[in-house]
Amino acid sequence: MKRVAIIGTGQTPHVSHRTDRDEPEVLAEAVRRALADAEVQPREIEAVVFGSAISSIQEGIEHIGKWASDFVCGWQRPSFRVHTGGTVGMAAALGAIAWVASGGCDTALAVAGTLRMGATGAASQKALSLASDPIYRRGFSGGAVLGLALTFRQYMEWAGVTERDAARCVVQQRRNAARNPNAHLREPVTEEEVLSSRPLALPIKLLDMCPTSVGSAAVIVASEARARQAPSAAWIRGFGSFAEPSSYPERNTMEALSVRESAKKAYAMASIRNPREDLDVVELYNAASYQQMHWSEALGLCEPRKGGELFRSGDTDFPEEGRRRAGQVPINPSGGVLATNNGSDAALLRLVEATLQVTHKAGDHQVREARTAAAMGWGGNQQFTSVVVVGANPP
Amino acid sequence: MTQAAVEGVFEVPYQWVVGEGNRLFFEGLKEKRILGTRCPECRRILVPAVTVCERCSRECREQKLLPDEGTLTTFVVVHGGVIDPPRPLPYALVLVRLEGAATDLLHLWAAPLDGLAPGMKVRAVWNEDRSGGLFDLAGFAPAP
Repeated sequence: MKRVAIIGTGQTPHVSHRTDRDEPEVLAEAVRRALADAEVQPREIEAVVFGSAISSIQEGIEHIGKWASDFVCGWQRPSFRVHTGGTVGMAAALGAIAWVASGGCDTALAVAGTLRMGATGAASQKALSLASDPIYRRGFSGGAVLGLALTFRQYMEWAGVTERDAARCVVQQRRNAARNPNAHLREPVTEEEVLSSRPLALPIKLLDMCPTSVGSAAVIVASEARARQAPSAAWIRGFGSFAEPSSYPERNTMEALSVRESAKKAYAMASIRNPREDLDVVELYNAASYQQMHWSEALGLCEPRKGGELFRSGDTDFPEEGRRRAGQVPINPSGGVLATNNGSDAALLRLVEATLQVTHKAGDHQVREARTAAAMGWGGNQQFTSVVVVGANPP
Repeated sequence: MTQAAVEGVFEVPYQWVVGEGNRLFFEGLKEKRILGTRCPECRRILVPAVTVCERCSRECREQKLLPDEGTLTTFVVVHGGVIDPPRPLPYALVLVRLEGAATDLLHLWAAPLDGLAPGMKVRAVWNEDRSGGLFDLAGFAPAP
């Protein structure tokens, strides 16, 4: 596989609603920011992979990629849309990486995002319920959080953590988001506010969940020759992607196999032997409060069932003045998915943030001297996972 | 003055084919039988019945009758959202590991909400009127 690097990133600030621009125009904003960051002209983009996880029913648009194509450098290039649920942003990046790494082109764009427009009110919730298969699972309702709620309770029993532990994760992530000007939910919350928030499908309460955010993100992937001319480069050191069963909660074994295997593959490619030490930053996909504990284990940052202990140690907090000490591995300095989620760009933002860290562009949430970072995407009916490792040095 | 947004409404009637695996399962429920299938390669018993094993990609044709009893793996208590078909809130959904099955079965809790605890023994509760559908099973309740 040829060496490839991310030579520019773009993201819009994420907010609850926008009425100033339509969806393709919002996508174009992230593209412009990425082009500017990379000092690349639009005509240099040779392929585009666009990720959107918002359903046709939700949007009332059968395939948003058809409309968006003009706005994301699609004209007279290979222009593909991918859909892997909430991890689609990273799937789009992997698509662009594959184009360049195969030698198919020198410069490719991956972009994801959404305006979350379309179905309004109760119809919007109903549209989300269509994620379950129509014959068996849809009739139970419980909403999009049902599968997460089942896993949350099962994880608490298995790992010996509590709802309060999960609430503390939310507090930490909000604190991190306050340092990230592009995050959506940046105000602090307390444990008690999380614990007393509206019950959805218990144990999941409103503040255990990510918001619905509007915005977009983009990365520009380049070949080694092109990357060496660029103002900055985050080298793709490793990646892995695995899928769980479609009816995952019914087949859940707590080992988070897809996360574990994706990480193992990415780490092997990147020659990472001790993730806790070798990774300066981890940007993981925490759609629900408890997940950062569960994913910490599967990402090899601690032993199985020790995700709660790792969190309580404080070693995953944003370090003082951004200076990471031995044993620390900051998780989601950006605030993660809990602070910002539009369903389409959340996984791409993990890769964007990992890139900002290793190219030292993360501003107030910069982990100083970060050189190696892991980004994790997750989505579908709890089923699609990807892990990408980026580094300041080429392989 | 220009419009900021354009409005529209769709109504889309649908028909979804029930499929082989679900049809087998529903026909079994009508007879108060919970049916799974066994994968010829990994030998796991999958319930509800499916015709393809997700791990081995093999066709699963061997039907297995599962007992009505099992262990509660976990549960959730639903407090809100779009509930269709309508149901009084709150209600609980459970994952039950029937004896011999390799997968949990998702269904309703058909007993009072207090006293739900992972690990407890549970058994299936049947509706008097059954028509070959998912809710021929009223759900699960504590085993006597």
